[in-house]
Amino acid sequence: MSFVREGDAISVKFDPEDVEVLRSVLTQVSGLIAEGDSADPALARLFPDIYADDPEAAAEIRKYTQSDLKQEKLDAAGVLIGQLGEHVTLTTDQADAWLRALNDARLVLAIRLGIGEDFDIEGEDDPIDEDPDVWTWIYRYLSYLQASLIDVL
Amino acid sequence: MTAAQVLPAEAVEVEISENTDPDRPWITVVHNDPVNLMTYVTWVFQKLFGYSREKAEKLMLDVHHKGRAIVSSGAKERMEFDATRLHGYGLWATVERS
Repeated sequence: MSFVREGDAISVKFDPEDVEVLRSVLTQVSGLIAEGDSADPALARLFPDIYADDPEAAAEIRKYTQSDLKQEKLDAAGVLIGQLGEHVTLTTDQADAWLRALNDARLVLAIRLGIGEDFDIEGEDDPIDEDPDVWTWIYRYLSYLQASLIDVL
Repeated sequence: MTAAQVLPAEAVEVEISENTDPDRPWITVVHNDPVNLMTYVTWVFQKLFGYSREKAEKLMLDVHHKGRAIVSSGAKERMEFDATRLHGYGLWATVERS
């Protein structure tokens, strides 16, 4: 399940179980983006305020940017979901969409898992390692996939 | 940001000096976060701004170690465009006066 590259062709093989995990996660993230609940902290991270200290200016610019940005993210997730299979071959444009979709999914999972500014990788009470639940496993899997894809670009 | 397979790094807030340039009154700032991979952030800077690998890596390391880095400067509308493109790639970007 590592990406390989020959010339311009980037490819990867997945187990059927991994295909279903990826399909499920990316579909859920897409649903979240489509729903657009502005009170959801995961969406606040996917669509940050452009002006940190000026909520009015941030809201004003958001009026012009939000809908295109939302569509871009849905399109990227759509490319990934549409190409999922046990043997995937990507162009560099499609790889770009995969990277963005994997990254959005990781950002959403990180918020859900509480991987935030207070998280201390050196700390003894590492909640990630002490509680390797399925979502933590998925977060790591997506991180691995994303890193593997960047490596071949 | 975090290295591949290494989970979260701590966000570090460090004050950095920002010189005011009247010809480039606005700046786009990228902030550190515990999720984005270092290699991914470098790749995004190269892709969106056409920066050399060396420059992109330096900016990425500034984000990682100082908590933030100025990735572009210029007219307000141009900075809003840059920040929005960075949001498209999942980076945490804001626009400020220089």
